[in-house]
Amino acid sequence: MGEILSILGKEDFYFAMLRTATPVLLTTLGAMTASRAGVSNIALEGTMLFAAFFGVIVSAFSQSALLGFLAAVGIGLFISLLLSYFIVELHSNGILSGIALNTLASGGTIFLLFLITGEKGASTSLHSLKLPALNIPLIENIPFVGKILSGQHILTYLSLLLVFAIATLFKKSRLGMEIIAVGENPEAAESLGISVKRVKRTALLISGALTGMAGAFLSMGYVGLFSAGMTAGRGYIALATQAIAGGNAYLAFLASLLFGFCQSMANYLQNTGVPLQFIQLIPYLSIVVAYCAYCRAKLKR
Amino acid sequence: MEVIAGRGLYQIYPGGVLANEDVNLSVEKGEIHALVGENGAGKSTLMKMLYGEIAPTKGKILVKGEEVEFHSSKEAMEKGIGMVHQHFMQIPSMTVAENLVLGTGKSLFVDRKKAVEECKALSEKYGLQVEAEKKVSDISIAMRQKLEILKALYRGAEIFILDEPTAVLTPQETEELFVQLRSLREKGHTILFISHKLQEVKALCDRMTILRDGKTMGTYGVESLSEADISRLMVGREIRLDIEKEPFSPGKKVFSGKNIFLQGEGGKAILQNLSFSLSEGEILGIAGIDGNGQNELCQVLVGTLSANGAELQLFSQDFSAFSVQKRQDLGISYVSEDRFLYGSAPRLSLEENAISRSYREKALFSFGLLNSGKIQAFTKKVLSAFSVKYKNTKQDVKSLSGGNAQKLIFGREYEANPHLFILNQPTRGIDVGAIAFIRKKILDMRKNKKAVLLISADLTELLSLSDHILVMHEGRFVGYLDNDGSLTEEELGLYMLGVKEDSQERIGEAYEQ
Repeated sequence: MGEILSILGKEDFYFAMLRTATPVLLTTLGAMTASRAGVSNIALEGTMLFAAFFGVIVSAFSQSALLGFLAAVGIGLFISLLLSYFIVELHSNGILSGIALNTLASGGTIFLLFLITGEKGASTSLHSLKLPALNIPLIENIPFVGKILSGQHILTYLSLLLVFAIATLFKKSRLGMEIIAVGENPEAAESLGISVKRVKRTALLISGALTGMAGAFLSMGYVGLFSAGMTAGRGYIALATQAIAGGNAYLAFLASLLFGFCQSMANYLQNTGVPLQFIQLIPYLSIVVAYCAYCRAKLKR
Repeated sequence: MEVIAGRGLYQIYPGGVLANEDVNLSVEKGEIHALVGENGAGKSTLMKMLYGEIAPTKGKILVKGEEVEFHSSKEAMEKGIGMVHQHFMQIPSMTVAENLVLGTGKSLFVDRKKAVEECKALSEKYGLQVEAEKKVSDISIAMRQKLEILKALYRGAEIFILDEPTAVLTPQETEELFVQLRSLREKGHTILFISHKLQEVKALCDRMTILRDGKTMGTYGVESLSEADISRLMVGREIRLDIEKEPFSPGKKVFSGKNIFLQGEGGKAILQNLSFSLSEGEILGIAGIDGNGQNELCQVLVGTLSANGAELQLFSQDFSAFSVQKRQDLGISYVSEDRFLYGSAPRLSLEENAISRSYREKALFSFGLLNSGKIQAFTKKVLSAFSVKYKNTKQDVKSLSGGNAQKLIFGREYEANPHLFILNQPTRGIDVGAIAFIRKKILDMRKNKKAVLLISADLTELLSLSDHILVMHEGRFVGYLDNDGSLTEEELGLYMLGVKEDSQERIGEAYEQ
């Protein structure tokens, strides 16, 4: 207990919380956009994995972090376009299509990695680039808070901006309104001349781009390499945090922070006597518990 | 001037169903033109073609004399055609104003303030009162319908297609709608009014076009035809909907329910302290605007919802803890409000649906296994007893017309020979012939000393069949009325709207010790 308290006093802990929340936040926003259009994007996990992989490969061969990032977003868009073709055009089952893409990603990235590098575990032999962290003038000088908020990864800042962007999308924009309409009553939307297919495809593409960024963050953020299965279920976690957030981008931020909090706590607890396997379970368990609590509260209301 | 017309329209659906055959329609500017016909006569198909939802297989559509070819309803809208669907095309979580402007405009952001102003101005101009800033989920059905008309007006509609708009309204609301439609006509708008309620057509419309079996039977001035003439043109034979009923002579008490309470999500009361009983040879009608607890009451009686503390008895046996199946075995039959959602498995065959209630009965088995010959024989018996039109017993229920599917479901429940027959909207949306048939069977039940609980939105039906009528409003009984011939639809409407309410003592009489 004392240990936890001392961890909670460290600024590094909160820094890590924001850092680890970033990919989940980006993916949650993506899941939310798709969900509001009435599509469950189960393929988030695979999309993120592909994006992480191609970010590393493109940045390694082009020696440009920006190109790597764009490739990650691009592949996110591509996978979502594929998914939207299955779901929107072919009327396939969204869950099956999503699972197919996820399994394709987990095997496919290892296969491609082996073809390119001869390795099966990680891209250690490639010299891939990372996206930069940013120091924010003025804020960095504030004691305690400065150390948490400044020096974060550029995509962490971007993700925070995107929270506002997505919130504005649904609150103010015409597209957001159309997405909500399509999600809630597609027949009505169609009767008003809104193309349900177009709106669903657009929502899936936004979802893919955001998830692509999350993938880029994983492989081009702090570690600068791709390793097999590195998304570690974050794409599925995002489905749960999205469900908790229920269409509200700010709640999505809070739910992702909860994940970041637990992940960061788990990282710190690794040096204590608690078994590692249990510690690694904590962030995932916490989301399951949080989602159960949320559903219960909703049922009572 | 002719504003909209169809010339020699054909619609052949994939699979070869001929839904419209050489349909001719001509609607003049500034008239209220009725489109009447039985269900399955091709009214909806014709509407869909006029509104651009489907393209005609053959034939021409003319708008203001100009031939048009619509590829989507958006194109129809651009030509000034507006449609008020039976199922409102609205987004419940959005406000009235947001729904009004949804799908229009091009700007990146939505100007909500302007939307509210436009909504108020439009509502003022046409006398269609709506609350612009309320969420659609919080407004009444009648207001939602006004919103639907406003939406069409907002999109510049001059020709309105209204698909059975009065089906969801009380008599008072219907009267109000008619006033508004007449005022639209005075402003030069044209209205195509789809209905199968002949009194309404006579009260509101100028001319009418009659459809039967996908063909037009001609256009007439409403004054020139009597209701009997219309119904003969619609169905090709004269159908008497007025019913001859034997005097009421109740026998033993069959059913009694006491203290039925039900809470919904968030503790909202859905059913409040309902008590009533039914005797042999009695038809008890339940009136009320849709969604005031009627469906839930049925579910409590059938056993798909449990109301804790309620006392439910059939011939003095308490069945409140029984499963759905045990209740059926006890002698309760149920015809639900939605024939394809609850009443049948639409993609399964007639046989499978016909035995879905009696599949455990020994009569259908040989050597411990279901016998297909016996199943077929049983199915044919039900189908012929209820004069269902079908091709073979293996076809799926979905391929039957609404009226025939309903007769099959009704027949299945009837054949179980129940003591208590619960009928929820038994004749909703089916053709006149099937309506007459089913109503006659309901009276047969009464003659055979069965107890019938009849929930219906069709007040004519309630008034012509019931011995007593209970009126539900917001989950409570607000009226208990003897149907002695002096009761009118308007009177019932006052109760349904919650304007009038009987004393607790009077309502208590519905439950006899």
